[in-house]
Amino acid sequence: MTNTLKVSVFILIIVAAIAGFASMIPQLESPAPETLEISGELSGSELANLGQTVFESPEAGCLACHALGREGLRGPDLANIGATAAERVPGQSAEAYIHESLVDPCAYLVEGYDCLMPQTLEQTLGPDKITALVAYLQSLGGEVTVSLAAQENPAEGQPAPSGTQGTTAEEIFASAGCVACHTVESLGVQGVVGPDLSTIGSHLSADEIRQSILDPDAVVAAECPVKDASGNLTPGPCTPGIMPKDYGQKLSAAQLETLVTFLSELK
Amino acid sequence: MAVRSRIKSTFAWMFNRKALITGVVIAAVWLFAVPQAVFAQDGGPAAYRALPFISSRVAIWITSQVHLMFAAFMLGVPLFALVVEFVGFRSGDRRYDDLAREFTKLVLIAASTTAAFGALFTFLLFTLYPNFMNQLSGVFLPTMVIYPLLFFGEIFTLYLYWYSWDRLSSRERKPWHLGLGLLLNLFGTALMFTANAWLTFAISPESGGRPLYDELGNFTGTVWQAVNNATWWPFNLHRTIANVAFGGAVVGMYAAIRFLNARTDEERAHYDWMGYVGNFIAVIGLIPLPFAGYWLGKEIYDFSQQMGVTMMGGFISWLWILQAMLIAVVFLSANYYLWIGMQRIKGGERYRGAVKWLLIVLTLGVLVWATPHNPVVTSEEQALIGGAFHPLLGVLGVMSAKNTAVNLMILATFLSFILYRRSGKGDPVPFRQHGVSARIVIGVTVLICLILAGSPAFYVLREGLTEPSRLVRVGLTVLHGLVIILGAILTFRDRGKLAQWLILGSAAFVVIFFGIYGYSVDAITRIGFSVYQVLAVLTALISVTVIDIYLFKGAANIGSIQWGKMPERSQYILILLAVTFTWLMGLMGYARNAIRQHWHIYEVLQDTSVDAFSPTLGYASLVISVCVILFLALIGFIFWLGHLGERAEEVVVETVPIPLPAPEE
Repeated sequence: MTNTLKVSVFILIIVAAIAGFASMIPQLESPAPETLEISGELSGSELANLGQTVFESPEAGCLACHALGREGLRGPDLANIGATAAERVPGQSAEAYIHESLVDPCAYLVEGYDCLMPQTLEQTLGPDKITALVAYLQSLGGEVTVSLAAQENPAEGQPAPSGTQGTTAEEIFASAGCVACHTVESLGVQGVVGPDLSTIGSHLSADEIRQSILDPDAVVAAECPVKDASGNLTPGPCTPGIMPKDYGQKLSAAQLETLVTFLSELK
Repeated sequence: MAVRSRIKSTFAWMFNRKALITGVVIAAVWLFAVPQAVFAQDGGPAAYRALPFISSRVAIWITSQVHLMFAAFMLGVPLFALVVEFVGFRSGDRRYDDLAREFTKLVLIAASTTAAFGALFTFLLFTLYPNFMNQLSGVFLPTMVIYPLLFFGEIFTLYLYWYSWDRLSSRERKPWHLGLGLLLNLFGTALMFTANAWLTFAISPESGGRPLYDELGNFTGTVWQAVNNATWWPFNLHRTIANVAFGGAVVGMYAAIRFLNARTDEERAHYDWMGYVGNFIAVIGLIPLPFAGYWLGKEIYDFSQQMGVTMMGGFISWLWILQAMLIAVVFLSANYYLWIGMQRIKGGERYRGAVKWLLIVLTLGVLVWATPHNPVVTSEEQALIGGAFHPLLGVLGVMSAKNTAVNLMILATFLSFILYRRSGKGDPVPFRQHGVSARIVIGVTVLICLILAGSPAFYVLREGLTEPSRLVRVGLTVLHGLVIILGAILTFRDRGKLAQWLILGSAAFVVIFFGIYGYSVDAITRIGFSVYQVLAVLTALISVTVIDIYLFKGAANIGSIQWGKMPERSQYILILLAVTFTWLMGLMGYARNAIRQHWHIYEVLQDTSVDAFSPTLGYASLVISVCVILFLALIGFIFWLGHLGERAEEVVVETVPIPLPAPEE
């Protein structure tokens, strides 16, 4: 009986040790596709509540870098952004500043932070969720002024519907938002976040390029443009986690292959 | 009397009034609440239904995983029980026949629990996921009719195999009994392959490179195409090998517990031997398992790059670090058990010096294998290590280094086994004593190894040596082949030991060379190198084993194995091996379901339930742990029940020490 008890305790210790180890390594979850529908007449607080859901969703990934009430891993504390937003850029309202920070995050950089935020949030989330996010961020210390009705009016200059358009490599490259981060000399585009792709075909095979599009963090490029203290771009290490991971869903198979072929021919 | 008092003490809680009342109240609440909650749901068509207190996914997860653990045991053990019985028949050694019988007894008493969990799993699937099961049964209806027939065939044959053991025990009738054992395994294998078809179809609904659904979601294939889907065969192979290894490990644990509770030296000797055989089978199964895993991984990549990338570089990527740690525990345990075992063999002390070198190779292998390539780091940490990857560890975390590490670990484990095997042996026997048949066997072995190792190089040669890496592949294959031929010639000239070292050295050289060379070529070429590494190791294993058999066949015993003279810690190693293996099986269950992400049938039928997300490894580890504990508790209980009916004189043992050759011969 003593041996049976010893063996039982031994087994429990082994199982606990393995489960403990499994709980200590990085915890990643694969979310279900976002099914949040934002439509109709919503009050500011209702829109802000929906925005909070978006903010906390893995699809938006805000919490990967930002935090509330403390400094985030890579981005500033957003606990009081609704109040401070109006003071950031002279002449720019809180609503306009927050919107710009989401769709063009490098237009204004908070002191002490680099341009690391993905510039493709608009394509990933679409205009409704961006509006909800603006409402939520405004509600953090400020007053919600944004509404769905405003973003439905093209005159307001809101973004076009999300989704990757185009059939040629150049159209797909632009529509998918690659131009926001990457430089390709032959297309005349210059990004300042991701690695230069002008001669990518001479460094990576087609399979490696495909992998980089579908799972950008599987192998992270060694060299990316980084701003030095004086604001000049110099070669530096690339940061994992910046490039969106949902191109497998956003691009059709034909678009993906067109893009892969185009990039592999850049030598 | 002893049995009665043990039963009484075990069920003593039943005589405690408070405990009894509490138990009855809990049972009554459960029996009342569950049907209430289930029947309260809408009886109409539903995509999903729910259970009270537990999520549908967790209920299915636990039931299926525990069922699979029992099923793996039930399918794996008869495979090696048949082999052991055959060895007993050929050698005339009664001990092997008794051992095979004891293995079969374990299967027999586990059969009903396997079936019960299988039935519960099926009921839960049809109840909780009706849409999914409607889709699956629509495709697989004919196989779902065949499946119960196969199950009946398996159970019927199992009973026939068990109850006819005495009647068919004579030399003349034994082949009939072996035939029944073969039939039992055929039924079991067919049963597993059928269930594998359903599972793999959900992962890869494609056959021969052609999708089996049209754009509107209509099934356009045949039943056979659905069965013979993209991952069916690699999955069948992987599971068959894993079942054998798992069965060996669980049998080893059973023997270890019986050893620890043994009251006589005879019992200890018997269960020491049984534990050794269990460990031996587990290791034999473990060695080819990574190779089968590579094939499965390749087929998954071929089916869907997105799924492959999710598996190796996406949210599941950290799972492989955990898997590497668990396999490392299994490798180290199996080796450590052999090293302890060498201490009970006079003559084993000659090889004690080699142990530290083997341990160094295994430890370095583990460290490399468990190195993550792309750690999650903050910008400050990244600045500290000077980039996204650690300057040293980043290099070790890639497949070139990992493939090299795992192949060297396999070679080291094999070397441990070879040293254990020759521990009690004297000098090798001159080869000429074995006659012409031995030369023929060695010649055929060399031929098989040359064909195995040479086939990929042949294809490369046929396509032309258009680049340096192709020349290297062919050149190293030719070199390794020449070493194997030289090994055969040296063996014929009584230099078999030298031949073994040369072949093992050649395999290690091929593995290390391709490991280093892999850093200077593109990814596709690098992945292709793993085939040459694997084949160099496999051919070394085959040829060195055959040479070793003839080297020591008929050699003088300088020290017999002192069965039963094992320290208690060795038995805890067997238990560690089995528990780790069981947990590993649970982890792989999570992996194969998680790669489908939010799809019931990948990219065909979406999971729209509340459990559509794939949970984290930490959460999965809790569910897996529950499954492991449940399985071990249940199998421990049914083995204990089986042991209750066992009369002391039924334990067939030899006296200690048993002056017989090691069981692997």
